[in-house]
Amino acid sequence: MSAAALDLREHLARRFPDAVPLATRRDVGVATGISAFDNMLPNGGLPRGRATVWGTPGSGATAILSAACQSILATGMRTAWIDGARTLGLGWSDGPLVIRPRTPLLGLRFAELLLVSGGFALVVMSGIPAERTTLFRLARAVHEGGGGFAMVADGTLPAALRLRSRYLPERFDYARTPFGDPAMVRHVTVAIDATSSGWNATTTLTLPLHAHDVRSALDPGLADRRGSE
Amino acid sequence: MTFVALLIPDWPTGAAANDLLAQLLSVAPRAAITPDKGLAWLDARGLDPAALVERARDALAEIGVTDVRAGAARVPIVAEIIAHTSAGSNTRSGGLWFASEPTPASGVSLPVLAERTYLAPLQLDVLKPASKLMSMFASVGLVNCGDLARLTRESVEVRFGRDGLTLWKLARADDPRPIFSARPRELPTASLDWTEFSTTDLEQLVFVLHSLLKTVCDAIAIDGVGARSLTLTLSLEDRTTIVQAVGAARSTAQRTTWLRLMRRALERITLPDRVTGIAVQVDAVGAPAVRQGDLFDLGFASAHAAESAVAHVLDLQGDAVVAAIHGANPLPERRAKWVVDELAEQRNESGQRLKPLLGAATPTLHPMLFPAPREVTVVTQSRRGFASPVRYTDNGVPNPLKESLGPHCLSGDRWTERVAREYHQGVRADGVVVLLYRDALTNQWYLAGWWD
Repeated sequence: MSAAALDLREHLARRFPDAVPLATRRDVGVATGISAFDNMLPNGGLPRGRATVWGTPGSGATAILSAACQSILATGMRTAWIDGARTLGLGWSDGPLVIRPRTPLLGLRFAELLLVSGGFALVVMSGIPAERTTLFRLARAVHEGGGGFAMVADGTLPAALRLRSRYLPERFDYARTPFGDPAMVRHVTVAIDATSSGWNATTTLTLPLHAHDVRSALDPGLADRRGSE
Repeated sequence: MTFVALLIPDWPTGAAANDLLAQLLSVAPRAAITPDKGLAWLDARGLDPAALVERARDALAEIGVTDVRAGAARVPIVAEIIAHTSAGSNTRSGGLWFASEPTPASGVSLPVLAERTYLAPLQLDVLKPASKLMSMFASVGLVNCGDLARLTRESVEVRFGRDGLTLWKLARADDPRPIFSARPRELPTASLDWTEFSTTDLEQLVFVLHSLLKTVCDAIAIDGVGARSLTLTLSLEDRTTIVQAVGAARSTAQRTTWLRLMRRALERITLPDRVTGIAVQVDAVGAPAVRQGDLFDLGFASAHAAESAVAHVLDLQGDAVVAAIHGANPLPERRAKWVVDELAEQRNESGQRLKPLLGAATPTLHPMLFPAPREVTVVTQSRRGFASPVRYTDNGVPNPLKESLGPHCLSGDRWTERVAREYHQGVRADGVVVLLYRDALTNQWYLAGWWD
């Protein structure tokens, strides 16, 4: 690239800093505390002031983003989770501010309020269907607030950083019965693809799977005496 | 504070008794009566006690009460004793003895020592002790108030108990009785009436409200509190009023918050006539919901913005912010309960709130459960005596299962809500791990949730 083109690029970057592609920006992202994931992302974490869309719900997004919330909380910053589908529950660790809106529209409004405030390092919104125009409005709010925003939604919505994940079932780890049959999934492997303007990367993570506790004692007040491993 | 005690030996009855307090309040800012003791009290703070007593005597004479003995002091017990003994040598200016009058030389009030000095030579029975206690005092040679006041607190407490300690305090001119009830606090209010024109235009009303709220919010902010609820009163042309209470989720003195809430309230009001005046009154105040910050907390600088945003969220939906209470119900969909975050601060008997993790967390897949399990159709094959799912169809979408693990059988609770379920963990071809169960009572299959 010629010197004139480089000068022009630098001039444009100074004049329009928000238009600089994510991969070439120098600001530090919101670190999630998951090293393999952070190392893959262009700024060492989820981008600040930009929207991130996780386009494949149900494939490890909740596990990774909730762990990211806990890690961010441990550094003294705030996080919030807008649970539009009302599916969080079992195994949820206290920490992020959990908001359960009555309607999807209220959920979008709440997200906008939290993002504009700038008081939250990361706001996660899940289970709320969003259109392109809605996402543009939320992107403007997150830009104004300067925090991180991750939206778990089906489809192909435009965003500064798009994440997609898929399980690799052939690499699952099973607990087995005495007969050698698989009895329970212990670990799953997830491949995560990150895409941004002029940049993409992939990583794989192996995540433990927490089985729901099957209780033989039906009375909630009684201890489950099946014993443990 | 200066207390004036008025001893009325012939306590009035009938209409005069009803008017007595009103007559006293016409001459003093605060008054109280204790009819069983025949005493009336006046608050003489900042007033001339002698002149106040004279005015009180004149006021009481109007309802036929003429025999009034008065005493004034900074301590109620001393004023009461003076009133009782005002016929004696201490009387001055018509039955009033002023124990703590300013010293002419220094121009400052005498310390409590003056009251204590007055009490010291008086016999202990002026404090009206119980006869048993009086005999105990006599048995150790305590005759005057000064004798009792000279003792140490510990020795009095050990020898004469709690009642003795109370008398010891009175003998030292230490009388903490609340004679007057606390004065109700005046909460700020602001109003504007106009006569030249009237309006129903929302923007004009909001414009006026903006100014009124500034007055009210500034007033409560000076006191370091926030308003919890306001009352909006609209005066209409037909001489009727519309009163609307507006509440906030958290106490706040922010004008923008209240303007937003007031505007929303105004939008919901249907005006039957044109508005000629608006009044805003603070109904309840509370400590503003701002927590102590930590300078080393990265979120400290933005704490106020975050609090405001959460308050705004709660204004829109009061139960929006929730926390999980994890119980031990065997049914997975009933094990976690979401409650409003304020209640989640308290642990209950059956549930325990989990503590936030410290440090970086390991991402772990947990079950995500539908609020109500979804009915699905399942193709099964027999395996070790159980129907094991090999494919399920949800909303018309077939999902073949690569692995079907289980079942975990659950049954019981026959006395209330009988349960019999076979849970299977299924691994779909795309790797998503789902939780399916067969209701053995109805032989219906359900999709309870998935791991994410």
